[in-house]
Amino acid sequence: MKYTRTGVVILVLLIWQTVFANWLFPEYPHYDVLLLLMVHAGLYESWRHAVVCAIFAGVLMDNISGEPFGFYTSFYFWSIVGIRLSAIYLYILNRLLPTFLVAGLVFLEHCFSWLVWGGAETAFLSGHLFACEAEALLTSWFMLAIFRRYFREIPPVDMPVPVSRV
Amino acid sequence: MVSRRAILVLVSFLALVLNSVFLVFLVRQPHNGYGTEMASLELAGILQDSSSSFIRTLRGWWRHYFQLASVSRENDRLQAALEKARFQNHRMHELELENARLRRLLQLDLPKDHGMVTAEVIARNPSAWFHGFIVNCGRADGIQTGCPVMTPDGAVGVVVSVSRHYAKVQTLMDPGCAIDGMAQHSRARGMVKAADAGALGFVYFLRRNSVAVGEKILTSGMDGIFPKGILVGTVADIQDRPESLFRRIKIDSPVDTETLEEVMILKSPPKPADLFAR
Repeated sequence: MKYTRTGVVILVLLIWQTVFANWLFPEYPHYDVLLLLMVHAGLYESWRHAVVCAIFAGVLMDNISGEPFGFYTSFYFWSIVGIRLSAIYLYILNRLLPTFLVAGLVFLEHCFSWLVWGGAETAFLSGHLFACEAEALLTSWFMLAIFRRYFREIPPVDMPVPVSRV
Repeated sequence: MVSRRAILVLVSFLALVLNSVFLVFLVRQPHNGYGTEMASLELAGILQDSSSSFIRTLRGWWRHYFQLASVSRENDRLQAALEKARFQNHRMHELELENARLRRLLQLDLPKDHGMVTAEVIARNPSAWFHGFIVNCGRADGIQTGCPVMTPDGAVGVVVSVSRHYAKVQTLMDPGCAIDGMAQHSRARGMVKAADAGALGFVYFLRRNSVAVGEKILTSGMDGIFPKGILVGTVADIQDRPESLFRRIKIDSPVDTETLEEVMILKSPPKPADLFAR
């Protein structure tokens, strides 16, 4: 049931990103909203659930976008790994942490794209990164609050205990 | 003694580097979904199509019921444009007939009539690094990979992958897309590809060939994608560098790919083999 709900969220985010966001605000660049789900899954869901989420979302994004196949799958997977590892050292119950993690992932996604495209300038289009970061910082806390409500913030079984609480 | 965690971090880092290297090589290959592409395009396409239809319906209501004040002004403007277009159409028809007569006299082949499909843009590319969109026509409508996409204003891009009912289009603004073009007056060729953000460039255009700002750049028909004579853009800026063989030319495209709603797709583009046979 939980996987079905996650699948629905992935499809809704995908439609928002490819259809609604571009129709409503065509002149503004938009960040990858699926990163919100990766942050949520990485922090609050089990390993298995987070990885399945990354692979499903990644394969869908790889196929409907023009990136080389595996770009999104790889980035989402490594995002989950990075978030899980950083959760050892961070106080994950801090409500501001996910917002900054999303902003960090937006930046890393640009870097990853820049690396994969062989240093092409398009990854850091003038003002694009800045606009995406601003949008991520302004909207992600709200979206993540909706996710927490939707998934009812079930505590993960295998989440590492934060060092600050040991 | 190296800790287990350090080994884990090191192994993860190496895997990440290998993953990145693999992706760098994949960039140079044609897009391949390894069997997942059709299903993903169909699944996302159905949802994107219905969402786009919903938005179009809302827009239609807005245009038809709430913007009536501007309709009369627009009607006057369109009437004037129609009169002008009628005159031009008559003139073009005469020229077409004359062209066909002269071609027959010179025993040249008449240009092939390519079948055309009109498609609606149902979704934009989710990332900023690829310039493209998805349309609601696919293999069932006769579309195949490599079909050229255009609007009445000019060339737009190329179909890069197709499922049964949907197709993914790469626009000329994408750094991975390039077509063969020619200057309208000198007929000298060059290559049209993305230059800076939001602009097209006309590259490999020899300095000895003449071109002027405002001149039209058309497709040459030599790339096996677009038929000859489709408008690509107008020359906006020319830079001559003494040390270079080529001119650096910037083109303004007449098509805004960010706000496109409908496009036309040619079903049978000229194949390179046909060009050589000719």
